[in-house]
Amino acid sequence: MSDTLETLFSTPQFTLPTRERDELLTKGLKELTSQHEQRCAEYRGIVRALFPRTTECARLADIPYLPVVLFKKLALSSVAPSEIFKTLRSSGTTGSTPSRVILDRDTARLQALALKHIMTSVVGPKRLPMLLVDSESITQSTGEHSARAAGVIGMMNFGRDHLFALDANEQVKTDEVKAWLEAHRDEPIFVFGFTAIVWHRFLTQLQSAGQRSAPAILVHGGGWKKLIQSAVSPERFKTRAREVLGEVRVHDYYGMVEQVGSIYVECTQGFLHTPNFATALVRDYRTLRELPPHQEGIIQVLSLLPKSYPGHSILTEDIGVLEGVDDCACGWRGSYFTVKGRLSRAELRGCSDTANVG
Amino acid sequence: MKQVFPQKRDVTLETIREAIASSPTTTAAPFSDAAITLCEGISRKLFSIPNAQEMSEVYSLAFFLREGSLRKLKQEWLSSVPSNCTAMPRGRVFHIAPANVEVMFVYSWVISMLCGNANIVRIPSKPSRIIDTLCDSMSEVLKDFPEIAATQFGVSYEADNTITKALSDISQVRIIWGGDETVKSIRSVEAPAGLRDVVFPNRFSWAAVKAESLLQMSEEQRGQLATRFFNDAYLFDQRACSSPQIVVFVGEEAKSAKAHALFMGDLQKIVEARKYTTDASHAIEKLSAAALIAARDSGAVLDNRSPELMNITVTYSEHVRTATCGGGFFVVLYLPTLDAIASMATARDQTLSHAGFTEGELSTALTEIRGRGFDRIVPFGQALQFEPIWDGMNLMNELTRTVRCLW
Repeated sequence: MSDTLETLFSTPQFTLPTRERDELLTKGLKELTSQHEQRCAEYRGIVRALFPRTTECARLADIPYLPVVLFKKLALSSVAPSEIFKTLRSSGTTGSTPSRVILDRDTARLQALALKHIMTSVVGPKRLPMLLVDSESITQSTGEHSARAAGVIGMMNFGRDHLFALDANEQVKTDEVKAWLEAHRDEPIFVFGFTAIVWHRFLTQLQSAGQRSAPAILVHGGGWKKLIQSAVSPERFKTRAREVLGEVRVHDYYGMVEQVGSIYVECTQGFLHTPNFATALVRDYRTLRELPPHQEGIIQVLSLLPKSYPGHSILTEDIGVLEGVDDCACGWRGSYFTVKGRLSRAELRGCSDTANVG
Repeated sequence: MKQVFPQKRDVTLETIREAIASSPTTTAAPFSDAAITLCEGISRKLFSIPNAQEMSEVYSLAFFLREGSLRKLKQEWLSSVPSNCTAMPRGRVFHIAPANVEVMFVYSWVISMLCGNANIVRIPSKPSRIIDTLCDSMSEVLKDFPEIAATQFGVSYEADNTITKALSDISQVRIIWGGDETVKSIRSVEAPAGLRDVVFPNRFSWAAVKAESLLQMSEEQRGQLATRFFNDAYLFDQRACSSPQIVVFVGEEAKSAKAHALFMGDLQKIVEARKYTTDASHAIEKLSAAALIAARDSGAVLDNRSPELMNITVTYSEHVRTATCGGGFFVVLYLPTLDAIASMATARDQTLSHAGFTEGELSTALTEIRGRGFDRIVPFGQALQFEPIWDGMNLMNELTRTVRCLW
């Protein structure tokens, strides 16, 4: 592990002042850029053509970035085929090509380590009894790891006495869940699941979890897209979580299969915080120039973890706003942001149209 | 479903099918006076729309529909009919019009109507001011031509195989616009054995500039050239089949590079003057397209002038074709001679718009290409101009039968 990453890992998360942190990040990301340029021919071609004048990256914003769609179109790798440990695939919506993310053992290990550093800052150093709002069957699928399974398996490490709350048909196992909650009524518990699943399969399916004398921590992520039709706001989500679990601290998180391990966790104020070893910038839709805080644009995510594939700097298709730096009322340091939605596909005029098919 | 011309009303499949099936399948011999007068009427109507000139595609359509231009077309075409033969209508034609190039359905309909056919025109259900204007103008003029009007049916419905099948069953020809997906989807619907399909799959278009000619132009001439190119490329967000995606500079490499820089500079000025903009997500799409190309071509050079004009100079390879994204994104090639394009041409290639070449150079290139690509070779500024000879077909021939009569 590089010294930079070591320092950023060992310092408690959400404590470093942004300026200091960004200097270390810039240094590390520059190194990664040149490593990937050497090891990945496609990446080298892209950087040379798209970012010809950024060999001297003075600032984070100067680091070259790849549009996220490239991970759907190319299998970008900076390691020899024999070193590939596993290939992650996004679950993807029906009909869309999944992203492919190539991991060697080292990067997979860094991802797990990074997640551990973030989660211990959020959940605490002690493992808590853990309720997984998903079905055990998804973790047993063979072959390529789906992002969902990887997410669940990755999180399991941070709890004990696990219970999968859903059966193979994704229905909540009401009796078992109640018994489990009853058994752990006097100690803090850790609940984890994907946002839409937690809402549709758990929070709306279950009555109160009974009288609990200890708090719960609910961590969920994966996006709100599937909940928009049901008009579920974060506030409604939290209210319902309290109705079901009693005293509960809810943390949404933002992350993507292209940067597993680098997750941005929501604080008590409702903002997503950047950990020590990763950050986010917001760029103008049209010019793609970096935007100052409080202006809406496209989110770029940067992380020191991706070593086996050139995914350390990615321009997402998510819309967001940088909300502030180091001054969040929650007490966490670092820059923090919110996600406002997803960029809709451009609708240009032209001869070829699928709107008319049928 | 709805009928949209010559009447505007909600209809059921049963009622409209019945109305269509009970009407005649032909109206008259091709290019009847009545049909030409009808077009002239629509032309006048369209010219009289306030701001018609601002909707340049409507203006071009109105121009095409003038009596003078149609009489010329009639004469040219009829003189090409073999001796002892007479051109006669084919029967009812079912047009599936594209959603995004709104005026297309009128061209498709007009050619067929002029040929004397009855028509069913499926118009995109996506709301469009241009389509409404066109349908209203056509309906109004059709009132004075009740015999023709009784055989013309503009309809609109959401994708529905039952409707498509029912309308195919009572047609003799289908014209399917809208590219590969639409063609495949419509063809998957069971149709009578005798039904004839005229299809317009996805096509791809190029532009070529002779570097030396461009370098000799005055600034003003270059500005005019860039304007013509702008109209070709940007009118339908560079997404029409005929919009140039690849731009070739022909000549010595140093001259090509110089001409390339001058040309993009001129074009950028026009893009700014016309205030061309695209959707928010489009800057990313272009960057992604450029990245995808550069990932496979280590020598690619990106010229990122503005979010509305990006161009990437590459060595030709097949994959650049699939990476293009429209909205002001061009793949640039430098070639020593125009005929070098022959080794790259494929059946997908439709229009080659050109500037600065002699007739001899164009004809040498055409000979070299030997039909492996390019159905239209036209000067800058005419790439999008619809002609009855399209995609390598003379549409009048496709929509009529050649009746041989010996005595």
